[in-house]
Amino acid sequence: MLVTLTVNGSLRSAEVDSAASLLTLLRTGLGLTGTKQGCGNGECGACTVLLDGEPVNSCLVFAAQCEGREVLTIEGLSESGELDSIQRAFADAGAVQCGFCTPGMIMSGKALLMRNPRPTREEIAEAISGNLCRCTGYVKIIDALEVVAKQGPVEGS
Amino acid sequence: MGQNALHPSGAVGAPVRRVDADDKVTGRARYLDDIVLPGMAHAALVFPGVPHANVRGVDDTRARSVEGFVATVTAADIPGENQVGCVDRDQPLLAGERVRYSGDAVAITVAESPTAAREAARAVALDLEELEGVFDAEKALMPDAPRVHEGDNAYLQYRVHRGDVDRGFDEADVIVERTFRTNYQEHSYLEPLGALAVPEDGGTITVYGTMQCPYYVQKAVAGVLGIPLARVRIVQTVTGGGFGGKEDVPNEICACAAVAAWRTGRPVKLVHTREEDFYRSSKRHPMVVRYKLGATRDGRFTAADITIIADAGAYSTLTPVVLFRSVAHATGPYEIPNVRTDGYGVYTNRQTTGAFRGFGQPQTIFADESVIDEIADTLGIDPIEIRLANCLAVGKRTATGQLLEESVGLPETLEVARDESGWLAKRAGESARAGSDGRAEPGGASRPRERFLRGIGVGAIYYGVSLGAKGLALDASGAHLNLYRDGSLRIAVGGTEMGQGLLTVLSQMASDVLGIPVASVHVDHVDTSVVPDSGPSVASRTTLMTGNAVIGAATKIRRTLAGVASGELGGAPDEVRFEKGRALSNGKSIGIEELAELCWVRNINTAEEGWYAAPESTFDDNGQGDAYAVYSFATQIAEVEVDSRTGEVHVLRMTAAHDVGRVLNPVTLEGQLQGGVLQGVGMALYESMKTDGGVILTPDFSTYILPTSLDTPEISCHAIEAPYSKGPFGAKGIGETPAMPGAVAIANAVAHATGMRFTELPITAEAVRLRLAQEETA
Ligand code: FES
Ligand code: FES
Repeated sequence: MLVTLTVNGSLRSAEVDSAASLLTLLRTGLGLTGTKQGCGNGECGACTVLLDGEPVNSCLVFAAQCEGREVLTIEGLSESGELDSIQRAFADAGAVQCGFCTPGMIMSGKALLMRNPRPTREEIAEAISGNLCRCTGYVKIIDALEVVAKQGPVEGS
Repeated sequence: MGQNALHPSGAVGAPVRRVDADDKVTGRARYLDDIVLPGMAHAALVFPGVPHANVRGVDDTRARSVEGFVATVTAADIPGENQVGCVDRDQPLLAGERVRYSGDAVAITVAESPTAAREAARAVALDLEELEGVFDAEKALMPDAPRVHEGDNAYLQYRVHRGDVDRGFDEADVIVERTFRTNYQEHSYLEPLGALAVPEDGGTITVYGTMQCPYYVQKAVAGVLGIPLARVRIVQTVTGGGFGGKEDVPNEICACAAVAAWRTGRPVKLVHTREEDFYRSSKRHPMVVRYKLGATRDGRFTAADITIIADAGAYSTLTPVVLFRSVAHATGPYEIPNVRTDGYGVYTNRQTTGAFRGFGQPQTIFADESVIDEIADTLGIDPIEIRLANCLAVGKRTATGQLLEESVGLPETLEVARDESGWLAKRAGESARAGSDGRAEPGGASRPRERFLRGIGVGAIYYGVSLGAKGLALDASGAHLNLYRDGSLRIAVGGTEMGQGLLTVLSQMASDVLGIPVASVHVDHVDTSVVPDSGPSVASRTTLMTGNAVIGAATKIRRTLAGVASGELGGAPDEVRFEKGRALSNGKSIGIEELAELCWVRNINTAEEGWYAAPESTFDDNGQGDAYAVYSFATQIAEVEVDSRTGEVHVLRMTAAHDVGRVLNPVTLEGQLQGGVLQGVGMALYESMKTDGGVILTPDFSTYILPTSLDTPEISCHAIEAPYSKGPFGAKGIGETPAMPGAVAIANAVAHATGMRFTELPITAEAVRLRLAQEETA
């Protein structure tokens, strides 16, 4: 089936299986491989994207449900070629190791900062608790998001 | 990070930003599954569904009618040897005759999409004659237990025997003996295993994959295809975590993809789902450790008697290397004059076990550090004092009789962890009382029980860096450096980046040797066609070995540049200094780019090879010798709060003091420490892969519980620098140690809080509740 939706601000269409997930649509249908699959079961958060501004595990959302809706992926954060403030903070704070959780973490962080520009450390930890990271112990990820929160509102909030 | 550092002036030691950070935060970094090639097909594995069986037939009739079906590959289609055993040659790539565990692959299906390949795999009919299996290492030792292979299930034995153990126990005033058990721990790297094999011109094949040890893979692929190593090229893709789990298992998955690609003539990708990954990948060995330790009244250890039974699973894989390490280090980082350690590797019909951060040691550490605390309690000696009184130091000997001549920062890690954590006050219970918020003070077990009990505990460890005496033969590493005419440097190495920050620290090292900015350096992921066999990236050996190889090659290039610079500027070549992009001599200077251009114009070679071989290690029949070149040391202190109503253990704070030789990059180091600490928390409290016969009961992240951001305690990291003269800039490996002392520190803290000693990990809320209830009825 053909699904048409807005991805990172552009209207895109892709032919997918009726049972395909949004994750498959993004990765296989549109070649947007920045969004990762760590489990395919809604348990790791590596596939997190924003659907109409809300964070979702894209592996659990049917592509068919996304017709006409708006999706923001990791690729949409630095379209100008410049890192956005969250990406920069992750890189500067040492919040990235193997990097496989990173796109999903950044999208969860983005969603948090859009709805709550001044989160506490506890609120940050809560917001990313659905995103597993096996490398960092989360400390520097929370540090990075705290840095961004202190810089003022992020785009989209 | 607290750091007693010698702060160097250049890039080494500075908090240099990761060189791969931008690729990773933008989603540009290409992991295995992100690569798509024209004409690519997809593979899936045919699983047996039972753990032990003879294979009588494989029928793919129904699979052929699956839309998009391309081919079925069975053991008979393997052109070379059907064998991927890494140390022992006991593991067929495809289980053509006999299934030995539920993760064995009997055949491979290839189709146009991953979904079709899996559908075809499920449609393959297997004719299996089921056999009785054995699912417990201790039961596997019984004479009438089903045999997993031809010989005894107890197929492997190592020992360390030193002094006179019986006399040592005679001299002891107190003896403690306990049996400890640990279960499977899953690596849970976020990126599942995957490979992409591409048949290429000239009868060659290139295999891309997520892996730690490309040279192991090269050998495995050449073996199953029956072609020379020169026709096999392995390229490591950006790797989403390894922790030991991508050490040998990629041999199997890459070999499967290679066989399927060879058979079909097409690029073939094979990527595991998380559940397949649970079934196929190796784990931390479940171990039973019987531990007996004696000490004199004043707290001197006199003798240790230790038996280790390690469940190897269905195939030997890396068990020989891992068990050697368990046995060599079983006494912990202490000088004990009389030691008898016997370790057994045992086959079962269960998931295979291999390398996992800590490499066979966290299990024995759980035993030794628990028993030491019990001895300290019995004698009324502070746990840190008793460790300081017995611990290794320069001039002392390890259990294998190795004399430690340098770089032993252990006593300092104990002292720093003690002082930074506020140990003395907390151990005595003062701090909890002072901050009285209605919560009980530590050691609360002796008083009427409050709901929340606080405790503090310690664990100390040592870790032999690199492969050691029982590693696979090659313990050397290569590098190829090419300084271009514009002064930029490209580095190819044989050691792998899997998230730990290798590319960054290598860039820092080369930058310091040549005086060029880190931004002028690019380090590639491993390509086996560029750098000679460099052994595996395991055992915390990579920074040490690869770092020295890079420094060696960079030094050769510097010598060349120095010659040219002294010709241009005057002064002696060996007095030329390289700083901030310039060569300085005779009061004048010249840019490195200019020097590189001059070399190019004058036909002077500026590409060099580096090669570093580890110092020799030895291990005789009694386990005596210089087992490892050098050791890393660490102490971690845990502070916990136990909810006596729910049984939940909450880790409040971890203090980690690690002797790393020399800090190369404080940010990547701290990141490694924090990540390792949380893996220790997972091992202590949550992580346990449960099985029943051939079935994994916890094959996903909703049943196999990993620590999340909500479980992260406050982590206070401290680097101790006891430089190693043969290490790159004095550094030793840091990969493993962060994940090692934490679990037992937590167990010891729980014992301090509740008065209850646990001899099994993880200490789940359920286990605590059960014990509390037992105590109440008692
Ligand atoms: S891949 Fe979607 S939650 Fe793990
Ligand atoms: S950086 Fe590796 S999983 Fe988070």
